[in-house]
Amino acid sequence: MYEILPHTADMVIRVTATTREDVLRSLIQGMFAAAEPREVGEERVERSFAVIGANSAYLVVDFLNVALAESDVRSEAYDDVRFDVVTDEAFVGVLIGHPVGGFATQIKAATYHDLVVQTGPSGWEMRVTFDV
Amino acid sequence: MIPSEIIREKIRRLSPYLAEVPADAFPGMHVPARIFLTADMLEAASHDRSLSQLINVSMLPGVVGCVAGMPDLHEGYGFPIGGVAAMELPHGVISPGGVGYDINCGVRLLRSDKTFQEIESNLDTIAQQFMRAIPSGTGRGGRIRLEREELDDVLGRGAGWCVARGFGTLEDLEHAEERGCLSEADPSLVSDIAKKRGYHQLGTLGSGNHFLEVQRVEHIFDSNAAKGYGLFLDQVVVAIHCGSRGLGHQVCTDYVRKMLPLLLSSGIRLPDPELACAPADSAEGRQYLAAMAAAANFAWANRQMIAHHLRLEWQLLFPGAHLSLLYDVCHNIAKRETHYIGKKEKDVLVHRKGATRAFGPGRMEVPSAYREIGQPVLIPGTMGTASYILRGTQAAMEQTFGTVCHGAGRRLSRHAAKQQVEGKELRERLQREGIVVRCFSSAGLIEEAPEAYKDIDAVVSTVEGAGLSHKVARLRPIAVIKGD
Repeated sequence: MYEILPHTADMVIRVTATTREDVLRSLIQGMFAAAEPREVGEERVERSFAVIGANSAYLVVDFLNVALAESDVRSEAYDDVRFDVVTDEAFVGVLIGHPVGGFATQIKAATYHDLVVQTGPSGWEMRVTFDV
Repeated sequence: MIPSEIIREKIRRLSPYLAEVPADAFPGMHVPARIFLTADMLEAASHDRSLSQLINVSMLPGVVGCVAGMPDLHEGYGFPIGGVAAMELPHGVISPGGVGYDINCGVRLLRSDKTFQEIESNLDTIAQQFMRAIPSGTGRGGRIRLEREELDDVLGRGAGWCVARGFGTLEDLEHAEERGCLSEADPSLVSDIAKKRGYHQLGTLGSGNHFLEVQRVEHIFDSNAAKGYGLFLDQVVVAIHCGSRGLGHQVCTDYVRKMLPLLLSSGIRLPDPELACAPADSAEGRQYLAAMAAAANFAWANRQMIAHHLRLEWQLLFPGAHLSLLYDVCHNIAKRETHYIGKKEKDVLVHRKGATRAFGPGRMEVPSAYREIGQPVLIPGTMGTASYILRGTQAAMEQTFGTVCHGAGRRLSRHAAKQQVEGKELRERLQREGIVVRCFSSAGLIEEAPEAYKDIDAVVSTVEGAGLSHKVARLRPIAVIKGD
């Protein structure tokens, strides 16, 4: 589940879920929903990704930025993710989505600002600020 | 983050247009934070974290003089938007967050030889043809697709690449900040993924707050400067506001990511990871500066290509007529400049994030045609309000590293704008004001509604009241073309 929260110049998405995979998936879904894809094609596309880093919280931002870059290069929007590896040092898997004609909102990048990545009794919470 | 109410207790008002947080107000500050806001504006700025962010910048290694917030100051991430900071070279830091993701987002203003009355009956057609000619919105590729070697050449030569191919004139280069090219660019330091994003984006507008605007010169404040800038009353001008597109965004992303581990390993603790930085003379610092320069060059080439295509359309509409370049300014950039800090001249790295260079008369960086007057400063407002042309002053050189605001500054989040403004009503309102609007979506229009921004007249009057720039002309939009 994701929520889009207000921020003066940009955008914040907050997600909660039981597992880390689910919360990362919700972040992708929220990010591309917020971008408002246009002219969504019927074809399903799959794009492999591998993100590696020493900081598990920053890895979330890096993962979102990889998805944004792929989206921009290929004119695609992703609404699902299949993970092969999710650890504190690496996310590896496949982004799944559709070709698009464009987006109503341009998300320039996911930022590390005000980043929240935490786990508790009811699962995971992540909060990411995006430059729009 | 220091709460606003704590900061307010430490603020000293120095003039109706300037307040200061002294350098000894909070531990870690190296220089004062100067805030060019009236009392009313300061009250409004206290509702977000921009003041705290400005104070954070005053704590960065190598910062000198002061850090300054402009009247359009608002919360960003890391650095606030609408601010300037200078770090002493060679060891002061460079911070990608102090430039922003849209490297060299900026404004280019073209002058026509037509009056509003001469083109009024063609306004719909002008807007339609401009919209057709310039790809806008996210995901829409340009009319030019570059091969790898060509893109590297663009990244190295900036607007000069375009002019060499007949997409502009030498006067265009003379009338652009840095002549449309930062020479320290190194395309090899721009990542493959950034280049892939750039191959099909040259000559495209993008979306969000990027736009084309046809404007009329509504009022002239300084007839001498206006004459020097080639402006006259009721003149039709065309503004282009855009940046380095996905290529620039990726460069910033890449280098913030690269610099973050350096902070962790050096033990430097910053209040915001987006303040990630490295000494300008370190390997990472030099690499970022060279990659940033390449992205900046892409943005200049981008605005040059857009200008070229607009000129073609203009000549189709008005055979024999021309659009000449008044000036092109950047408002997200870091540059090596020489400034007086106290009585001493120093080489510094000036970070302008949502801030515009405004060099005064006599500076060699100002084109010879304008050198006696001072640099043209282009400040876009919002749809339905005004934009301004100012001229830089010596006071700006002394107080803000030759820097002023970049626009009206956001007041409402996009979400809040969508809640408060209705798309149909906005279009009808703009129409009643005689403004032709061409926009792919109402959502994009609403997000950029005048209500979402601060009062541009007040912002510019504050800059003038502080002596940082002087008004030359006020421009009124007559046609707005934007992406989503």
